[in-house]
Amino acid sequence: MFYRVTRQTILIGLTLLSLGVSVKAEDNTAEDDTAEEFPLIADELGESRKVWLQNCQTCHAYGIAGAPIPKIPSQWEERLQSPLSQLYQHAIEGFYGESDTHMPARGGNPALSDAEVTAAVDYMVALATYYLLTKKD
Amino acid sequence: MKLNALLNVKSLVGVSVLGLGSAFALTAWSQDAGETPSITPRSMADALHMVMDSDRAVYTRRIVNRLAAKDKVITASEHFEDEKALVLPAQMFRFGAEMVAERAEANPDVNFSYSLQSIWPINKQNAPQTEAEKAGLQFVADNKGQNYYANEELGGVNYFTAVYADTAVAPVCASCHNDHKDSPRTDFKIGDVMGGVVIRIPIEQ
Repeated sequence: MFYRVTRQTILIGLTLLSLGVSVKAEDNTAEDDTAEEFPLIADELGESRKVWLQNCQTCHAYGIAGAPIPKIPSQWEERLQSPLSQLYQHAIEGFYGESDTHMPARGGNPALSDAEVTAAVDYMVALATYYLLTKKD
Repeated sequence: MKLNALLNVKSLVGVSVLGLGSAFALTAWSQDAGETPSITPRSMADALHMVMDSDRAVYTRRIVNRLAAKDKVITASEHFEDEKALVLPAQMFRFGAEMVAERAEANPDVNFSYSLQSIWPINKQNAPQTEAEKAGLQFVADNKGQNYYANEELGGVNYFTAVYADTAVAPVCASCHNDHKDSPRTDFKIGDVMGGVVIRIPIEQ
């Protein structure tokens, strides 16, 4: 429990910190053209962002199969109230939503480790928090 | 008191006449509206696609995901007849397209067509034929999240053609295509654009 609260708090703290210094596309390493839409948010999330871009963006950026889009606050407001451990579990084990939407285990990539999946979740939570706080729908 | 009553009657008659007049006008407008072109081909194609896409998503989630993947009471298979299984969502979509083609042929007033195509088709019949289809399928594959629209003339008839991305929504979509002996592409993964829905509407120019 202590771990969950601490980690979640850190993610929100990092996001708030990023807002304070105004995240810009040029602040990122910008090895791709997604830097403005999916900002780095914090240096600590660099690896998390990479995993997310390579494995999760393809559905979560577009709402494929009902995947919640972090850029749309209304799709994440309630989800962000959930404990991180639950989001980790859903991402690692897979999950059926209320309308029988399906989040496949490890985003459909069985080669991803638990650490990589949770890292990707960390970035998506930070990204959703960022858009929620800035209301960038 | 009498004056008030008279005014009330006058008002009542006035309101009634106004109401009847409005009703007649509304009826006439409604009849005209049904016959007057008031939607662009693009909006029409977008609306048709929204219905098709939503129906298919509901079938995928409420039937296949729930019964085959989650509750495991039945399977979904390409060989649904032999295996007494559910049809795959893409097959359901194709069967709908085939039925529309038959019904539209008998009713020229609703003459439009749609099909599921790919530049990596398992069945060669589902490869693009026209230039607009080829360009559209390539465009939606290269520009995720965007649709393709074009006008084309085929057999002396002008058509508005729209192409919408068709995406692998589950790991099984990708693995089924990757493992199929007739698939020209074997590296699909979930979220990839695997083809496109082509909607074609005849237009007068």
